[in-house]
Amino acid sequence: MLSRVANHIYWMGRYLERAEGMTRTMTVHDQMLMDLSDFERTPTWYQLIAINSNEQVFAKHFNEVTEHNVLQFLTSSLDNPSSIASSLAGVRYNLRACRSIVPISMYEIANQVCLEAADVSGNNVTHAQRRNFLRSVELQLLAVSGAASGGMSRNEAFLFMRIGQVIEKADMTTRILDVRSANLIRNESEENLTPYENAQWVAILQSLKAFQIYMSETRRPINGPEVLNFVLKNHQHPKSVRYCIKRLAGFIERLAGTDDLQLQVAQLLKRVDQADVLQLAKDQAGLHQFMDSLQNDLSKLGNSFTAHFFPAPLEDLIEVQQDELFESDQAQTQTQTQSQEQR
Amino acid sequence: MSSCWGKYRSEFHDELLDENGKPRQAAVALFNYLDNLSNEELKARKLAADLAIRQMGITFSVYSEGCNIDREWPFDIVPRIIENREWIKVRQGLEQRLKALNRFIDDLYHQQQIVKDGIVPAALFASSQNFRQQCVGVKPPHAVWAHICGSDLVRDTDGTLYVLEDNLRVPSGVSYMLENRAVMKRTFPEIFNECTVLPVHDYLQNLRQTLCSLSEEKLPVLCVLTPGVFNSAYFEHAFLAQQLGAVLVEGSDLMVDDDDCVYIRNVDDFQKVDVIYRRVDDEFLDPEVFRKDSTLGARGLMRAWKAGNVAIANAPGAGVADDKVVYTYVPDIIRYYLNEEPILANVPTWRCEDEESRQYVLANLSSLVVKPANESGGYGMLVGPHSTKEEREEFVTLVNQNPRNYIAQPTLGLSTSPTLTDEGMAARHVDLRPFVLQGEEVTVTTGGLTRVALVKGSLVVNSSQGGGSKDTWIVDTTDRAVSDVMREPGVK
Repeated sequence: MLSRVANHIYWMGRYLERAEGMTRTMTVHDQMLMDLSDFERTPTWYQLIAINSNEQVFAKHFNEVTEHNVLQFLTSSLDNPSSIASSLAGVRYNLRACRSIVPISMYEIANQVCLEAADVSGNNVTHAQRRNFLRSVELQLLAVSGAASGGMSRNEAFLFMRIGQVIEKADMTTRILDVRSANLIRNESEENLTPYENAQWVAILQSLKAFQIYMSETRRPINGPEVLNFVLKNHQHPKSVRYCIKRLAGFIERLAGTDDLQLQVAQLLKRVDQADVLQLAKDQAGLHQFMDSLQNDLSKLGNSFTAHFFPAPLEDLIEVQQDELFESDQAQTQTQTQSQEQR
Repeated sequence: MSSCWGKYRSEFHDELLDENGKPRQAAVALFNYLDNLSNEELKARKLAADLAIRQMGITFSVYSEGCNIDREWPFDIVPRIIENREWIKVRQGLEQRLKALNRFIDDLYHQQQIVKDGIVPAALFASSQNFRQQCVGVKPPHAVWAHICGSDLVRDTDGTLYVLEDNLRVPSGVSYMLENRAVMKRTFPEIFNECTVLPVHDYLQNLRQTLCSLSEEKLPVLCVLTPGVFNSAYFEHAFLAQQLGAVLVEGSDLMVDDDDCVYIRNVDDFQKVDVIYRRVDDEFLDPEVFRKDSTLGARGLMRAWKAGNVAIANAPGAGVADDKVVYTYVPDIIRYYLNEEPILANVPTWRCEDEESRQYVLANLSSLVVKPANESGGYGMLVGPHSTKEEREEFVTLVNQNPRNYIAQPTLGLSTSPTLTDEGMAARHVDLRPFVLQGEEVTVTTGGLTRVALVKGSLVVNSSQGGGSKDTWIVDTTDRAVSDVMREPGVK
């Protein structure tokens, strides 16, 4: 496969996952806010901006933290690199470049959801409309994944897409854990949880589509250390940090000449395996530090990966030429800036 | 219920209806079918078609729209119909034309026998912007230079189909022809049971065969070379690559090594390329030979091509026959090389470089269309009947300054085809672009791309200037065709 196209399909994988993660997180948050409306320390939508460390970007574009502003920022703002609209724009940009190698059905569904999202403006959207929108985007993104896994050959293209997806997924999980657990960590983990705390831990699981599996596999009530352990270290849940990194290791092994990368992934896996969850569950600062360093390592890994496979910078300027069918009064060629798709 | 045909009238030759307003034989089924739909149903189908186009991502870009590189392809749901018996003749005419043009191009880059025999003047190609000195003496496979040709056909008031021009450089539009059919099948599935519409998708197999025949490899590696995602026809490049099993490449993906072979940069290796279907103009192909500032091609591509290590379709230099003055000689070119009479007629054309013709043209500017020789898409034209006195005076100066660069044709009464507009069914002017392929064999699309001027009275079918397109049906009305299609195993 062409190196240039591999780059695009890798980023398409990342943006797909980012869009899906944000959509899911918003849906769950919405549910939780309704449950917690009576409690004093009710978390706000603003928490979701912190998940992607976009507080400064928000402050630059909005004067006030209102529900309307925050929701617009999360859903339709193109200034927010993690908004649903931005992620889908990233999907579409990269999809265009690899259009000739993805299944037609996958292109059609992805194209459709991107168009739909672009049509929904953040203004004057009712609560019910927002819920329907999130639901529709989530289902369509699932259909995109289905079209990809059902229609793509297990070749390099698929591998690069999956690598982008698992890196992004692991990153998203650590971010959700980090921010969501911020005011939940207590020194005495033995006590029963308040309904407020319970709802928040449940929300973490639900954001990762892990609630059902957690219940059936651990067969224990919701409690902090157990949830943390599950989300971080579970071997079978596709969104646990460990699972994602293990998958990543498997994918990278299949690519020739990646010894350095393999070593980097192995080290990361070891760090996750050796993490002392009981300790972290009691130590707010320690947990934050640990999640932060995992995100750092993932980001470094992503950089090493792109540097390894896509070393040559693409031409910044490309000339645009018209085909004969479309020749009109305009000049024959013109230049446009093609920006790279990195975040 | 009021019929959509109620107020339909055309002052020109109409593709679907005869002069009495009755459907032509091949259009009867469609006419009746639409007759039974209410206006609301028609509008609903139109919306469904637009939605399908949006979902399928059938786009073309218009540069004046800046950042919108995903403008949807404008489509009219009423197909244009041509009867198969007429089409067979047109097909033969197109095959004959491309064969002769390829003989002509090959001759120009070798012996130039046609010049020596006094059929065309030497000045003709010496002054052509598209004659490439670098191609002289090169021997492409099968002596074919123009592998893919898009010829524009128009029908005049008298019902005759004329060839208006031959596009031999990078003609586009064929993917829209194929996708128009796909959209019709989505939108009007039931109508295909009513009449025998010949399928169009064999074009892709023929194109693949044509490209493969340019290489001696059993399973050649094919590439489609695109200028990139910002090109107006990027959708088509991606579509064709996907359908052909070719790799869609940009110039920066290609590398010509010391062995004068072309390679593509893969993730973990370099892969040799056998055939390049390029959608980049000659001037941008190779900065070593043509424009030095081009980033759309690959350094050394011409070396590789001349060494016979890679085939390029269309071959560099093929555009020499894509010139409106050469066009005027095509009937002579056919007679000269094939010793046959031309099956399809040219539009009568005056060459301004002939003294007598020039005098005639300058004296009759208000009834003629004057075109520059090397432009396409309606650029720099004078449409006499719609021109002002100042414009005509300007053209007198232009033609006198450079007579070689101008030709003139009578103003044609372009045929119309029923088109769904905001005011209901209305007559709109159409043209037709069939695609002709030549490698080892010569083949023609079944029909082609019908372009329609969506603005009332307009003759401009160009997509970037308010033009749209229609599905084009070649309909077989013979009894045999119907019974062949209707017969199913076990049914007597």
